[in-house]
Amino acid sequence: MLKKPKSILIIILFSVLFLSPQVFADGKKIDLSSYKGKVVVIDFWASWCVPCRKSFPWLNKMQNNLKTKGLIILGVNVDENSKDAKNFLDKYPANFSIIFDPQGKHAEYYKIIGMPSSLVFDRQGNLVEQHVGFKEKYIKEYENTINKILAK
Amino acid sequence: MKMKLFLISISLLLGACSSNVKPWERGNLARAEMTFGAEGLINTINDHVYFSKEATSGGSSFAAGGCGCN
Amino acid sequence: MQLMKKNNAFALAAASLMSATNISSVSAADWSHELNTFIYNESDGRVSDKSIKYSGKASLNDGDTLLNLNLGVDILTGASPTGALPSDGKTQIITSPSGGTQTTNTSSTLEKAPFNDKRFSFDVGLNKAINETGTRANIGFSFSKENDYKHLGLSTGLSKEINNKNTTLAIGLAYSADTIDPIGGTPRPLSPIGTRKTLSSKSKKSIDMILGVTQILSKNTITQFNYGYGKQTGYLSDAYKRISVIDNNGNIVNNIHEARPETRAGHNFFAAIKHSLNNGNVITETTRLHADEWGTNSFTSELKYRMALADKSSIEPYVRFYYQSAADFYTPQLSNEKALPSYASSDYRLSKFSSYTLGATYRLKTSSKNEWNLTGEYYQQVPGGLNFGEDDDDDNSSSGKTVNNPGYSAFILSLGLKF
Repeated sequence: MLKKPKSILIIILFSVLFLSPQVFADGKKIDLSSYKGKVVVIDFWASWCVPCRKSFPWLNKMQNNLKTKGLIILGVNVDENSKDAKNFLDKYPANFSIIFDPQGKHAEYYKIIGMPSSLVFDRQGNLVEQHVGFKEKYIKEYENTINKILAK
Repeated sequence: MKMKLFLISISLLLGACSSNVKPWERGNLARAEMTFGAEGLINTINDHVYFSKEATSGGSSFAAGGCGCN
Repeated sequence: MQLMKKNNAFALAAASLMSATNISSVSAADWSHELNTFIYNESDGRVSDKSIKYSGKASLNDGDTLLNLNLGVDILTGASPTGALPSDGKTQIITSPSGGTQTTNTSSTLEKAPFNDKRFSFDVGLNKAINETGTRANIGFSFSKENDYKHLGLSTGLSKEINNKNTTLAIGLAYSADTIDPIGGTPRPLSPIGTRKTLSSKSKKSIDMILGVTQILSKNTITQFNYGYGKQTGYLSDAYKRISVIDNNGNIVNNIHEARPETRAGHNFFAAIKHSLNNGNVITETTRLHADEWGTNSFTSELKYRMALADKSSIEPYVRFYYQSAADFYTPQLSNEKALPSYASSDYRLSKFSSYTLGATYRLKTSSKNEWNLTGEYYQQVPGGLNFGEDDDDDNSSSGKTVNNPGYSAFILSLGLKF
């Protein structure tokens, strides 16, 4: 009987040790203060993610066409080795800004649930739309969402 | 003592199961060599040979794993 | 002769489960192909197989729909031991474990059935996402034909990703309906060579079911566990295999056709793990246990180590160990002093043996889309294999080499291109 509380303590200790990465890590927010007044799309991508590669031409197009309307696209790369990302960009260039997040701290902060992930912030800096994955059949939807937020 | 060991093992097991790989951490798992079912025809060939020359067959891997994208 | 048959009904379902993101070539076209040619050659003038295989996969709708197509042509030549004892004067006396055994010289005296067979195989599969939360369904059709054997198969399955895509659950079902037309007709079970044969086709049906779990353990480790159940019914014998009936002096009285039961049900337990090391090299280990009602239980273990060489090439050495126990009705010969059993076979493939494979695959990427692979393997079958003690039947020395089951080796060479 005396041993019981000790066992429970050990179990709690182990559980805390294993659960801690999930519970205690917060990640790092991306500072959007310099983009006030703009609509910001944060897009999480990686060199090993095939749909991400497919989304690049579309992201480039959106950035080009809607820059004057105040659209800023930030591509956040989560490759653990940023060199892989740079090799990828040599083959598939981006005309939007790239942020390197090799330790996934930004991904952690925004609790990304799949790759790729897109987060849309309105001109006041509030997160208003989010989607996971990139599929051609939803391109119209993605564009409508962005245009709607740009119009506000 | 036995009960203590058993409870510790269970919590370790649970701890191991709760190790959850995040979507952005799957770069390594996305490689073909880390994916089940991506080995190509050499696996099919070997399976055929063993089926023909041995009495038992089947029970090989499903295609699974990968980057988990989309 | 049913030497090479489309075996794993789930090769189809399995290939279909591959999602778009696993296609190794990141290219504008969403087709990926592999073409492979291989040669299999056994020692002692036994079986030789030359083959060309094609595998194509297409990804549509961003991976929501996957198609796969496999085609193959095999040319089989050579001669396969029938299981009968050598008919020349130097007949070996094979006695029970209490007696002694003499082994004769080479297996060139072995009775063999020659063949020259072409086999064509084809299978097609469709795999579709059926919701936005990682559930997929697949269906497939397979067909193969050789001189005396025709196979038709259907398969279906479901898979689901859970636990933040760290776990994949899968279930598969397959059904086969095969038609067998042995050349010269189907012999009656255990009938003497030369007696009348039936000319009508024989049929064999099988159902297979598989349950699987794939679990990611870490960023560098992934495992899979499968359970499979399969049942075959119908004509399961080999029309070309024979058994020698001998008298007390070891002389052959008669050669008769073999007879196997009309049902066979079995279970498979499979586990696999892939682990990538810090240097990027990958270790793969698989283990399989099989048990069935024929008594042919087996243990299989494979180990592969894929090492990156220069920037675009790798080498993957591979070893495999296999052990099987003999079928309950396996016997190297029968005695004319005893009544015939209901079932008997001297087919070396049903005997107790171990086999060892040693091989390596070399891969070379020549462009972003093209990868060559070259594989060489050496396979050796050793009758008797492991001896775990007194498991021999009284008049059935199913352990150890016999003159009609001396073991053999084979070499495989394969060259392929993924593009």
